[in-house]
Parts: sequence; structure tokens; C-alpha cells
Amino acid sequence: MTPVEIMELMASWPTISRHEHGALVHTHCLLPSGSTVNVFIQPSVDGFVATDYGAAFSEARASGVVPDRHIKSVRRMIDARGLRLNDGQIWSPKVHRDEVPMAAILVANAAKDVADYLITQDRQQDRPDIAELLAKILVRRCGSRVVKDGLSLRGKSTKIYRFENVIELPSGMRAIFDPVSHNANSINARVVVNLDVQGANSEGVMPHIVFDDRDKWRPEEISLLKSAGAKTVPFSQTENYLAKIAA
Amino acid sequence: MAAASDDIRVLVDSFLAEEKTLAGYGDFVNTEQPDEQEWRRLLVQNGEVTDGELRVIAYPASPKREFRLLVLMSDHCVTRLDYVFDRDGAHINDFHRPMGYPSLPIRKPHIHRWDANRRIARVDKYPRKLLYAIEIDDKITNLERAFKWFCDELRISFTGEDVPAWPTRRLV
Repeated sequence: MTPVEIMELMASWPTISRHEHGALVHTHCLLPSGSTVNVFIQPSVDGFVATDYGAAFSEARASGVVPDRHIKSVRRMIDARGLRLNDGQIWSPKVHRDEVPMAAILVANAAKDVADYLITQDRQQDRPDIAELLAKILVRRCGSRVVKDGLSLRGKSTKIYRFENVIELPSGMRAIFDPVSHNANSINARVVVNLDVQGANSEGVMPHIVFDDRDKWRPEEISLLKSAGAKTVPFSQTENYLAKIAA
Repeated sequence: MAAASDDIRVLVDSFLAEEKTLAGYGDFVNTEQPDEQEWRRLLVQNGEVTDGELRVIAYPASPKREFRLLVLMSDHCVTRLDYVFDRDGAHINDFHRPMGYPSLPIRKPHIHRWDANRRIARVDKYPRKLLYAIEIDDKITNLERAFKWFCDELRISFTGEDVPAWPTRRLV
């Protein structure tokens, strides 16, 4: 196949079809189901607007997700890209004719990302929470060594933090297991808490961060957890780890 | 004299000898170098994420699909497999080479093992370079085979999903 033939093949995509009030662009972006994202472009006063016409939300609903549960986060995602969410539809601002292709690309990618996000978030919400699971594992493996009322520690900042999952080790040390989920808020919060607690040099305490490795963590995210100074344990290995330290 | 547990050489010996698993997941990403991509995974030992890391450096545009596999501890390379041909020129082991290591230039894929280079390390210093290398088996002809062999050698458990696929050309 010659380069020209490749160019001819690719030139036929994305396809565009005409509609009464505008044009429908079948983009390169793929939704989780494998469908391509279609973006509708229509004239507006002094310009054009592009919309996914609710494709992202429809995709999520088709997977059993209720998008309204996540509306705040989705709105933040959309706002951050300079787009807007209106009745479950993603819209570009009004653009000049030269900016129409760019608007279509931005809306298509936003629709894809929103659909991915909604479906992933919902999967996470459907499964048991790591904090609950962790507490059960500690009871099962360590029984009476679990410190029933947890532990309150003062950080270097003087702020007091409460930890629920604590066990007493045979050495008399108290091991804290601080669960963290795979989202930026949880990661940032736990890193800050652990840094503050480490800064206070509390004696007799062995802090751990347990990260929920049912999700895919990037190495730099795990490194960030480690930078808080606590021992970092993948959730799937908690039992092995407890067997080592609590024996 | 430093206690045994403070001796970097002993720490690396123990780290490499014990079973390890891979934390999280990895994707190839661009590095600062043109035509170079990197894949990283932190290593877990005894249930705890360590300062150890498995890294793949690939050169997607190289016709022979060249790459390197590294194990690092605290950002210091302690074992490296170079699946490279012309990229580095020949590797030459100096006169202090370990017994059995070739004296002739190596122009084929090779591995810099820790046990051969441990002598360069100090109690409190990792080797700046892994000086001694030996050719790897000719049957190791691609990233997948090399990855599996390397992980077995270094006692790193992995699943099929962990094996990195050859990266596409430079990501934009």
C-alpha cells in the first residue's frame, strides 16, 4: 500500500453527514461500548456551536449508571475544558467558523472522557469500600489486637487526626492502617495527613497507607503515597503483610 | 563499620534474592529523549511497596526494536539488560572482570548482573555504572521474552497482563 493510498483511506474518516439544522461529525473518539462519538455542529448567532447531544450520558445510562449521581464532578470536568453541561448535553461555547473543527474535537474528547469517568466511578461505587474491607481483614487476622476505639494523633501542625484501623503489635507498637482510594482527593488528603503525623514524630506508632489496588495505580501515584513517609501496602497484599508484622 | 543492614550491598543482595511482585500498572510514556519511551512499575516485597523499581526503556523507532530492562533501588540501577545492537557500540569488560566474563567486545544483547558488579559497590555507595556484562541467550529475541526471562531471573512475579506490549511510535 502506498502512502497515497493510506492517505486516501484515512481521508474518508471522520465522516460528516448533513442535517436539517447543521452537520453531524462521526469522530475518531470511542466510547466505552466501542461506538464512535458523534458531534453535532449547528450555526448560532454570529458563529457555531458543537454538542454531543447527550451521547456521553446516554452511554453511561446504557451501562446502568445514573449520571446525576456524579453531576458535580462531571460539571467540573466540563468547565475545566471551557465547555458547558446543559441537560446532560456537552456544549462548546460559540466559536468562529475557523474554530469549528477544534470545537468538534474538544466536545468529542470531553464526551469520551465523561463516559469513561461515569462508568468507572459507578463501578467503584458498586463494590465494597476499602475501609470496610480493611477493617474486616484486621479483625479476622489480628482479632483482639485490634484497637477498638482507634487512635487519635496530633500532627506537627497541632491538628488532631483520628485513625480507625489500628492494631497493637507484639512489640507494643501500634500499627495504623490508613486506607486510600484511587482518586485525587483521597490521595492528597491521606498524603497530607500522614506527612503531618510523621512530622510530629509520635512514638510507638507505625503508620501505613493501604492503597486500593483493585484500581490501576500509576507508579508516580504510588511514589506520592510513599513520599508521605508511611509504609505503603497494596490492599491485595494486606493479609500477607499482617502475617509478617503481627506474627 | 556499618551494620549489615546498613550495607547497601547486603540490602541489594537480599532485595534481589527474595520474591517480589509488581505494584500498580504501567504504560509506556515519552521521556525527555526523542524516540525513547519508558515503562515503570514499583516493586512490592513482603507485602510492602519498596524503593525498588522495574523499568523498561524502549526505542520504538529502532528497526531491531531495541530496549533496556532495569531494576533500580532508590533510583540506582542494580541490574540492567541491554537489548541493543548498534546503539551503544561494543561493551568491553575491563581486566577486573569476573571469572567467565568475556574479554572480547560484546556487540549483542547482554546483561549487567548485580553479582558481577557488586564488587564495585561500597558499604554506603551504589555503583555509578555497572561495568561488567555477559551476553544473553540468543533465543531472547524480543521484549516479551526478555521481560519474562528477566523477571524470572530477578524473582519478580508477573501475570500476562503485566508484560508490556511493544510501544507505538512516539506519543504525541
